[in-house]
Amino acid sequence: MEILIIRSNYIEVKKISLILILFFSCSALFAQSNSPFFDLNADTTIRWAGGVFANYDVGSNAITNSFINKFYSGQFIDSTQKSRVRNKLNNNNRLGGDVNGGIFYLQKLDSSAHHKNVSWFVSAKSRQHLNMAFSRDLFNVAFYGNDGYKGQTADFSGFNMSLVQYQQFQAGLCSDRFGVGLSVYNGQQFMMLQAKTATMYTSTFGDYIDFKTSYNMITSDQAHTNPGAMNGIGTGLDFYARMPLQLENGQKGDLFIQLADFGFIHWNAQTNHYKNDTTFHFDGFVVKNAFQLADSSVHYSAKNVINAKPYQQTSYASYLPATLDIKFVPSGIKYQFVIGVRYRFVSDYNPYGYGQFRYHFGKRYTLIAEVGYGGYANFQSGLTLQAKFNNGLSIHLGTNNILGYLIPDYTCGQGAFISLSKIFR
Amino acid sequence: MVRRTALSYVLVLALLLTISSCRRGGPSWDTDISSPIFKTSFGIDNLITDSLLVKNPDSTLTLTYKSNLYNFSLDSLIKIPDTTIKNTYVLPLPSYLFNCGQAITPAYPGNTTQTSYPLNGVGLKTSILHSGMMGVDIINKVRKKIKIQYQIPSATLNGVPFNTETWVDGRTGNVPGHTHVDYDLSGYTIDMTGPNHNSINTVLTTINAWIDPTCSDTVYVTNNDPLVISTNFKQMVPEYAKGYFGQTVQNVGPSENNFPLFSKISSGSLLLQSVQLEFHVENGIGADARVIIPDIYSRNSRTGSTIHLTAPIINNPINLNRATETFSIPPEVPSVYSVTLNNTNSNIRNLVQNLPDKIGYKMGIYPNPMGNVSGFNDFIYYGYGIKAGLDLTIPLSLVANNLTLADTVPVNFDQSASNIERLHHCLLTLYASNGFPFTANIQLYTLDKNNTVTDSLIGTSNLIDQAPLDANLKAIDQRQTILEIPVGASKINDLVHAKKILIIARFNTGAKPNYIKIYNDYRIDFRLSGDFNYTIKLH
Repeated sequence: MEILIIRSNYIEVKKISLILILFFSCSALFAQSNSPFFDLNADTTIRWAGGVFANYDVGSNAITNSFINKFYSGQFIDSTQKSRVRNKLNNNNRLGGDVNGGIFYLQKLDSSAHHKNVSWFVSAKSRQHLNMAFSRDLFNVAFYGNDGYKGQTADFSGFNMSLVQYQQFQAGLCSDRFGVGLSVYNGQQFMMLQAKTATMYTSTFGDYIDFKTSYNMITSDQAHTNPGAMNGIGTGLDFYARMPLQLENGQKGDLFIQLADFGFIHWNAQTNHYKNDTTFHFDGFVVKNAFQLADSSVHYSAKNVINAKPYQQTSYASYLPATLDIKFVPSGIKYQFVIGVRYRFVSDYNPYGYGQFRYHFGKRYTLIAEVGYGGYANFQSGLTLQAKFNNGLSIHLGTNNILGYLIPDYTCGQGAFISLSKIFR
Repeated sequence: MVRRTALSYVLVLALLLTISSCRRGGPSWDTDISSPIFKTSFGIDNLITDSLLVKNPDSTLTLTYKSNLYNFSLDSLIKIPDTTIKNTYVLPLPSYLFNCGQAITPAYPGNTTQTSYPLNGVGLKTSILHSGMMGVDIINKVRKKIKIQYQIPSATLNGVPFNTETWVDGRTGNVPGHTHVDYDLSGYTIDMTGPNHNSINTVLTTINAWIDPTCSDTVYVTNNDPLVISTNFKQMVPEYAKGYFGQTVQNVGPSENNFPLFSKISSGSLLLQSVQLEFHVENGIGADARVIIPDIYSRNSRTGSTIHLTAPIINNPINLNRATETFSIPPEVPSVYSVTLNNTNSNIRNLVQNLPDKIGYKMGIYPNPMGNVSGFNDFIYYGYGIKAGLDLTIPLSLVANNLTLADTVPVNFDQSASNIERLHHCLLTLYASNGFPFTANIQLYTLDKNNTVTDSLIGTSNLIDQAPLDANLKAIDQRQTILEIPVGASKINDLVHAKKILIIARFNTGAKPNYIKIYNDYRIDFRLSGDFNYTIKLH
């Protein structure tokens, strides 16, 4: 029985280590929430267009960018960096991100069917989403140790973490008013850990530790995690709408509503499920005879596991973190003030409100400055440059959080995006 | 233009790859971890080895220790020497023409050999062999194959005399025929009384030889064509022997036996309130015997101290009656002589307080001090003999003066383990709850491969308080002592490279000079926890 307990916890420790790595190593967020297809379709002179794009974004209410960078790049995290994070921690904290990349192609129907404002499009993308919620105590114990919790209970309850990695193949139609895209997903990897309750008590003298947790963990087939691994299949919908709007003050513009990644992935029967309701008391290894250590007289003294359902394999369906983005883009030739709100479902993402100032330098260049609050990283400030060249080449380059690069020790979000497209008229 | 566009695409793809693959191994950070390490509990049974503790009705403990002093066994009394019998058969005529199947050895009694074994004053009538081999080596110079019949009429197994046949090839040119055969005689009963049943130590063997009955023609045998048969009896050990075992004195010693009872004590002194020794001699031989013990002593090779026993058994003859044969299982009932030595009739307490690691002795064993009174009916069985032993009884009522126990524990830390290197320093805290009525100074030393001390792990404040005592000097509770042990980088290094840990514990009883009784429920509990400054590194 003791051996089983040790083995069980060993597995859990490994998984927790993996989670901690994923905690910071995977990043992302949707950098540029607009569908490129809307913008491309709006250009009536385009016959077809194609391009590539990539973005990453990561944000937290407490984990600083320098901390994330050190963690991700495998460097030593010193006490100053830990202290900056600790000062920002709330009782409940969040961290999330995305990494995306892919290719797309759009073609106007009028080139073949004479529908002037309608395009069809296809895209192939590699996607990763990470979402995590954690307590102050979890960070403190993980990065400072439990020495500061002698005589106290560290509360990790409410911890949850999910990571999904998949490939998306999308096809759809869009007009100047509406767009819809249907996607098929290949599920590469999935991991979810939810600890409804988790506490650790370290005795005043450090001579025993009590750990209690009730957790549920699901992982896709860990034997196949390479890119393109087919551990699940799913489907989803992207929806876009543009509605002309006139405000009470007479301001005209367009109201954009976008729902992206509204779908799910059904993970196959090799998906691992762990569920434990565990109490764990450790007061040291038992040495039956200190004069005979060589005679295998050391025994593990931890006890005990209750209501353990350590492992089973069965299929599982997970929802994707769908994103709803609503914004008002006023009409304007030289500049525009855009306001919007964004929310991500099935996550710990807070509603994100933002404002954009778009300034057009002629027809070729546009500079977008954005400030917002909410999401994973609270305050954010972005800067984007769009450039269109005569040869049909178009570049979007920017960041959703420029301060993350300028003052990484004090900011908690970072992200960059780039897209390169070629337009044929 | 096309090249620029392609370059732009490559840049974007490179960014993708960079984002997804720029990790270089795991991050690391320092933490302060507080954790229990181990717990253990000692009773008196963990401190005393090779012993049997007896719980008395009042829960005090008595230590009993049994030790064999000397075993005088059958093979010490009866030693049958390896013996070779050589029979050479030479034609008494210059030559003779033998027919096929014709005997070339003489008829009885010429074909029978009596062998008398010299047994050093022992006269055996009967013996059952526990083990023994007979090797027969035959050299044949006759130019014909010869059939050999070998018999031991006095050796029977289940009532059937030993009888075997073998062949030896004839001479070819100048090369004689030769064969060698071994026979196992284990279990044979040997009648050693000779052909007329009035001798001792005598074995009869009979050899008959014939020209091959199936040969094709006659053969001339000359007196230069002998048949030589050598019989070698070896490793003959009786399972049972009967006869007269003589009066040969067996002098034993001076000799020493290991006495491991106090082997872990490295220094200090131990005063015992009382000690009792039962000295016993068991005679498993079916013959009377007398034992004289000139000396028994205890020797502490660490201190060089030797104390000789002063007691009535020293130099006074101990007469032992013969064992009684039962003719069943077990085959005999030994006779036993026993004498008890204590504080009043001996100095046995001094012998024990010497904390010996050796017990020495010297004795003489005199079989049949009154001669052959049994009329050749002495007997002995394999596994039986004369055994001398000591049964030591020590009530654990004692005074310990700096009584120091030392022991080593082999350790083998994996020096390549990076997790040890990431341990920068720690503070170990030892919680000792002592229920024994004595103080203990604990020290741990690291030893290298040459058993040289490289470091001490505990500082000078290493005293564990004794338990509180009541008016009867009985411990009434455990008393906790907390020892803090800072372990810096150098000690960690010494620990990692250590091959052994030397544990030294020095004990002093309280309420001196009173003797303190040790009770069955006395224990000392240790719990070790540590505060570690450690660098966590994820992989």
